[in-house]
Amino acid sequence: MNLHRHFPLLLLLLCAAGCAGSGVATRPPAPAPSNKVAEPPAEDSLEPAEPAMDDAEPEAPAPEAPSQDVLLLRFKGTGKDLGTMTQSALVAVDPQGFVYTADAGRVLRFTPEGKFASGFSTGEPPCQPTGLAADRGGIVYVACGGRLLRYEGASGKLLGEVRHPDGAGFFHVAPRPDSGVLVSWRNAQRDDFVLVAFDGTIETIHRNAVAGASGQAAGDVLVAMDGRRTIYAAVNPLHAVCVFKLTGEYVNRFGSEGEDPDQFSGPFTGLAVDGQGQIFVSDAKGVSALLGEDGRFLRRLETKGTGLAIDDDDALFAAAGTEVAKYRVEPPPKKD
Amino acid sequence: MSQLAGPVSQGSRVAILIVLALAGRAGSLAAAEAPKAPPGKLGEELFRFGKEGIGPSQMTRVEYVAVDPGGFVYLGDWELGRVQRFSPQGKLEAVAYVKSDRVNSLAYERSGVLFVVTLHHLFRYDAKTLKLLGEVEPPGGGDYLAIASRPGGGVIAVLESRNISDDVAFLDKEGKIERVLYGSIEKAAGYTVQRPFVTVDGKGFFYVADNGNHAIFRFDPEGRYISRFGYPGHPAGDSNTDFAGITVDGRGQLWVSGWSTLNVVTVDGRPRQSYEMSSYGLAVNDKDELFVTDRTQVRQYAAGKP
Repeated sequence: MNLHRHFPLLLLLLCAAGCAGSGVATRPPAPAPSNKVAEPPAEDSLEPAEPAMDDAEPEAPAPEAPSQDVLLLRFKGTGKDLGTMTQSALVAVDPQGFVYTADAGRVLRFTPEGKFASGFSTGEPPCQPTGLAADRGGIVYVACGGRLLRYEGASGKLLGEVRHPDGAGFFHVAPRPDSGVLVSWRNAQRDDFVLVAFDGTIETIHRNAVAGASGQAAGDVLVAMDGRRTIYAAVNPLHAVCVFKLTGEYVNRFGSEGEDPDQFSGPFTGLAVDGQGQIFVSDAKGVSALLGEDGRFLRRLETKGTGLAIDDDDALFAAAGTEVAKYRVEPPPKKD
Repeated sequence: MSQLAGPVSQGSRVAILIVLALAGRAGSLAAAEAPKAPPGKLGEELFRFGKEGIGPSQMTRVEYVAVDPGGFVYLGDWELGRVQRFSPQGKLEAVAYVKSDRVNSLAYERSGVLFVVTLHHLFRYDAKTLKLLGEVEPPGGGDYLAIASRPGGGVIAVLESRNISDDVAFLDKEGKIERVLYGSIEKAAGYTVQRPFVTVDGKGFFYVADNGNHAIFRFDPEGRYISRFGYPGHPAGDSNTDFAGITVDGRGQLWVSGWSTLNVVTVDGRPRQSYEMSSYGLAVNDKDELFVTDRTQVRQYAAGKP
């Protein structure tokens, strides 16, 4: 702000504010416009306003305030010799701000400004990745064909494979707030949450996590973990996001199938949580922002993102088709 | 992350000062009896970083801070139960969640070990990576309450022992017990400590700020009790005294946080200054720059004039 230019105005405003607060009795400011049916009381009336009882229409929900989500960056997933992403549904971002996308058989790495930096192949035959995450150490995890592969993000060097004791079945990957990743795993019998440490070793397996709590097969589960280390799982057969403690103990779930704003439609394609207590879920309708503590629907983002990721500054990355978009998202409403 | 020392011109600074002075005048008319903070000698704010939230680099209740000779800052978040290492530029470098879900104290030991007290337990971490090195067993099975680094290496810990007394233990960098002073505060004050904080000066004198006895206790390097005192406006024993942190600089000043005030006392107990500001964890680096946490931010101040 140019303070020289605005100084007289600032001075005037502050002086006015100071005079108003200096002991002179003044009326409170006029109330903000409202959608209420009842008439406001007359200025000097001591009687409370009577609600309009007759012919009152049901109150329409307050119109949604315009979203303050701001598009910061949009770039095409093109990587020179590696071609352009065609079906990219996954995105990840590392602590340095480098962005990763993946489609069949390859991972592309972009600078924080959206310029292509490097890329690597995930081997032959190419498979369609189902999970992609970068941990705090810059290690990139790719879930592909039920396997979980670890790469050094900057060089693309394969570091190894994480092996579940019951075989292939890794599906979705999310960064942990400290180091390592959280991974969903499933086979025909059960579904697990797997906590992988910074060095690729398996720390903990919560066996039959979703099906054990819900009593029905979970199928492909998308996962995320917040800074309290709460685990979130988007479960297609339930059309719901389930909440678990770090210990694997089931806490809560929210959501159902339908067309209302707070309902989900179609398969889940992305799940991410920010540092302000918001959950972002993408499905056939788009990207919904929910309040983490109770699942309350907050708003729908004007993006067609499928794969989702959050960086350290709470910016949201959404990958769809050939593009990646970065948004500064509106924080959740403050508590009273 | 924000940095206050931004590119503001001299003219703009003058404009800001005038506006703030007028705003302060207007505020004083509205609340004429509001107490004024004494003129401050706190050094210039050099840097601040931190954002409220639960994301990896964010802060919820950061009430403990330590700083190493390289300028790296270590924070303990009580609510999230984690420690964070930030670069001197405020960039997050590592995060570790503690085993007991709560952080109660931390200290950087000069060999590169971070000691962390978590709900009565003491753990050692590699300061650079925040990888857990191991747990330190307490002498006599007591509970660890507070910890501080010693200038010559190793740390000093305040414990509550099983027979409801308080002890001070000297540990080396490996966490091995060198010696223990049993009942040190209780012998001096009659009551055991509650929610204590501890710091050690360059000569090895140590200071325990105790919320149970509402006083700061001074001991010599051998652990002999010397004196007790409070901070400006709150003499020793005043039940309105709160301690949220203590540190000592290289010029014989104790910095004592009292939740909403930051206080300066000489090491022999003479009150110096009190500043009305939210302050919790305190630390001083080799340049006598002061680091203050206010739960969701860390502020770094230049050494003020004593």
